[in-house]
Amino acid sequence: MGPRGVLSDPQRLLVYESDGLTQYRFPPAAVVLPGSAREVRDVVRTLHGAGIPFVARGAGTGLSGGALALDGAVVVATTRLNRILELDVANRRARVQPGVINAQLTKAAAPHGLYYAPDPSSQSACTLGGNVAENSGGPHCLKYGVTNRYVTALTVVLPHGEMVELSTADPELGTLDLVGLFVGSEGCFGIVVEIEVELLPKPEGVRTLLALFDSLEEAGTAVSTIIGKGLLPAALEIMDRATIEAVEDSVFAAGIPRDTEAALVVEFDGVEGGLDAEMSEARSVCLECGAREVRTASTAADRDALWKGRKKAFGAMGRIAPDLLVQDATVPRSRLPEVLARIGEIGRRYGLRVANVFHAGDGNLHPNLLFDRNDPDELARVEKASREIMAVCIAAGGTITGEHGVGLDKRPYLPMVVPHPVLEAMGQVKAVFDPTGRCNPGKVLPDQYLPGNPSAPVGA
Amino acid sequence: MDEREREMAPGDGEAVGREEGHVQADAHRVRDEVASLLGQAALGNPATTGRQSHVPMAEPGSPDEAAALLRRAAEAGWRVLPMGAGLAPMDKGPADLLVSPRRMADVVQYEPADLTVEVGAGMLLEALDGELARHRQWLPILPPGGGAVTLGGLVAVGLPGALAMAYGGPRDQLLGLTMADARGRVLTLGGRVVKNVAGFDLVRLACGSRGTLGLICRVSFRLHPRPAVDRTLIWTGSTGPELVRLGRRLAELPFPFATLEIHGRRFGALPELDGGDWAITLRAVGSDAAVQGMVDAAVEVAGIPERSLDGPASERFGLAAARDEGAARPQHRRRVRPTELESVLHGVAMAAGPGDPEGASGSVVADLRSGMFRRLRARDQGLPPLSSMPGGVRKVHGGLRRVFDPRGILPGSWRDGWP
Ligand SMILES: Cc1cc2nc3c(=O)[nH]c(=O)nc-3n(C[C@H](O)[C@H](O)[C@H](O)COP(=O)(O)OP(=O)(O)OC[C@H]3O[C@@H](n4cnc5c(N)ncnc54)[C@H](O)[C@@H]3O)c2cc1C
Repeated sequence: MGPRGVLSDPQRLLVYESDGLTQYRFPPAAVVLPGSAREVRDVVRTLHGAGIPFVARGAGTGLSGGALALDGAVVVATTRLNRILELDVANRRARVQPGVINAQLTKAAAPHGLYYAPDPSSQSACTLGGNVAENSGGPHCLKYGVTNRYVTALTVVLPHGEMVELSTADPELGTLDLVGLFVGSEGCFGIVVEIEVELLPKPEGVRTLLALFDSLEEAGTAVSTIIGKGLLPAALEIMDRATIEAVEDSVFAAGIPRDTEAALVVEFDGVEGGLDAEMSEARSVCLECGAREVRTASTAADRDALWKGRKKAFGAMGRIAPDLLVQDATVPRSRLPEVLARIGEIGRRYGLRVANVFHAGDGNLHPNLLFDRNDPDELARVEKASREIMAVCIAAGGTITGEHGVGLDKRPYLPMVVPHPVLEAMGQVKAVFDPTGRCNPGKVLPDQYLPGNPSAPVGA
Repeated sequence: MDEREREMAPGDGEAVGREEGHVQADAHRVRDEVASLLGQAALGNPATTGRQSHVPMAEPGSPDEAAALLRRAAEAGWRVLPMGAGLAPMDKGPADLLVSPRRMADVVQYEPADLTVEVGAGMLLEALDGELARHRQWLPILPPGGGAVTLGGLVAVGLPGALAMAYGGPRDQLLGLTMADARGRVLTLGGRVVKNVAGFDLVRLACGSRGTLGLICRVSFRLHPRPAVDRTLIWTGSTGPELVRLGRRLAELPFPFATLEIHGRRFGALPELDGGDWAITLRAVGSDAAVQGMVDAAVEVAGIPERSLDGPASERFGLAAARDEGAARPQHRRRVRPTELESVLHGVAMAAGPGDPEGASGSVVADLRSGMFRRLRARDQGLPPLSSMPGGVRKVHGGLRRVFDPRGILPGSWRDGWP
């Protein structure tokens, strides 16, 4: 691969020792930067032959520690695999390498009136390979669905170094939905080297509304009422007061009064003719639910202004506390107001600052716990509060992660929502792809279910 | 065991051996054992499936019962064929036992406010639809067979159907499922929330697995508001390729039409399509204003349609077309690039001249946006053998099936001759 393709200087490895979740740090043994699918295959084959574990890495924006190199693993970074291989406008398809940045695909498709639907808030940095691995969502997934709906085929390098093409279920061929299985497998089944996705035509019209509330529960009620009315917005996003304050204190100030307890972004898109009626209905719901102010936008510039706070929330938060634990859980939408209240109460009880900014329409919560890693007592409280928040979400019929994945961080929580026989089956499925457990070791499943572990259930 | 099979499981600790000449299990014994394991109530009437009437049929009443039954079947080596309403042409291998989730046909949980529902896999789509209609909600899936399919069958077969380009197919609307596998495990996969990435996605794996991994006992879906306005426009014509060109122009509009298809009408049975050998159907749903906007744009491109069906008539037509498609078997499905549709249809039109002795071979439905092509040519549609797949993928398939069915009692395994 030549010297350009391998990094081993400890200074340069520092960048790779953590991802978006900064409390874990594991420096990799080395970093390899293949320049083609074949090079990925050759690298994996060599590592397999030498018995060396490896882990794929995209942009490292993951929020569950998924791309960290455990067990002395080598990082296989997709940075150089950043080409859009084919943009088939007439068929609304694209074939890309895994290192292509999410937003770049939409940018390339835009002149043709097309776009790539899944839009994680990190879309200007995260890679499509990472999106596939995490089955990422985004604000507009409420209406359009998450990554797995748009991936139509994958080429992957299996952990023993064989390159194969995967397809969805096809009765003619008798195939299982291996694409569906691979999407969301968090880099544990192999390395994605080529992705085929479906693109959508840009909707004819878009309308956006920003409603300001005096309580988070009111905003949550507005969300469930809008959905209950049979409206299907493209996005329904909430920011709470702590987030709004952080945004307003930052260079991203969006002009939201600092005493607003919750700001709700509602966006409709689709056929131009239908949008105004939907907007006015959503507006009435917000006012009925107690909104003190509703701002609307129909031009692109005005819409950007309303979205600004939401989009920059995460970046702004980084400025108000040294460390941030981004939680991620989903609850049934009707339980939002109650669960939000419980989370607030947990934060107060542990004396922690909690800032919520989340995909409300999907019931996908992101309570961000602010802390200082150098304060061991605070760190311990963050961990306890985190666990309690998970328990509250599960008790409400929810789950421990809606889009950030299990990775390293949520492994201990997984048995809280996934029963033993299913964990066992997941371990066996992992073993089909990776019998020795050297592909992204130590992720997703608790140790006892991972292949290569002496106590793992055999069978696959 | 030949070389191929050996290659499927390198380094696999378990014994893998082709079972030569499986002897049909004694039907009386199987029936007695099912009755003693699950009670008389679990013995179904195989004649109701219209096929294999000599083969005993079990109808477990719960996922636990299904798991116990499959565990027993695996011990005894009975070849088991899971089935729903019996509409889909599944593997026609010689089964010792049919298993149906028919007695699991209740709503397990329905929260209209969450727009999610969980039901027993034996429930018929039309029964669920009736329930949802009362709350003005909708599960926008139109599988071949229409409302008469079981929800378990719909998931097990997993075909996208006519509404898939607008709403996604079963795989995209499925939130979770409970499956009994041939190890005798009850696997509760996914959940009831609309976003969930807790662990590997075995839900997607089970969807479309056609009974090869276990018996699906419960399924949960995300729902949509029932559209206020529902309209289907129909244009007919005499030449397929010409109509495809028109259809492709409609497909280029930036609108979320619920359905946009071309039908080779010649041999179909839908009176709504009368008027030519070929027809385009375009279904628009949503608010009054949204539907009007879509219809206006479509008419501008394609001219005044022959027919416009509104409300219940539009809904009925969608179901009838799906039912018609389910009735026409065996079928053949293929996905082509939408831009290739014209040349493919041209080929079909040439092959299906007026004197075409095979008749049904000219019958076709194609999704103008996805390029999904159905009923192209009559062909046997059992599960093709694993050996037809490329090596690496075949190994993965074999390995995955073995996770859920190590003794090879479920369909597909028999044909492939393993274990
Ligand atoms: C500010 C911010 C906002 C975010 N917002 C969202 C959001 O709205 N929605 C959302 O879903 N997520 C969000 N995330 C999380 C994160 O951006 C996504 O999970 C993203 O998909 C990760 O992509 P990445 O390229 O950074 O992957 P990485 O972090 O590099 O890797 C993530 C995982 O993918 C695996 N992986 C990467 N590339 C490949 C490959 N080619 N083959 C196989 N496995 C691979 C890695 O091994 C690892 O397990 C956000 C993160 C941040 C920091």
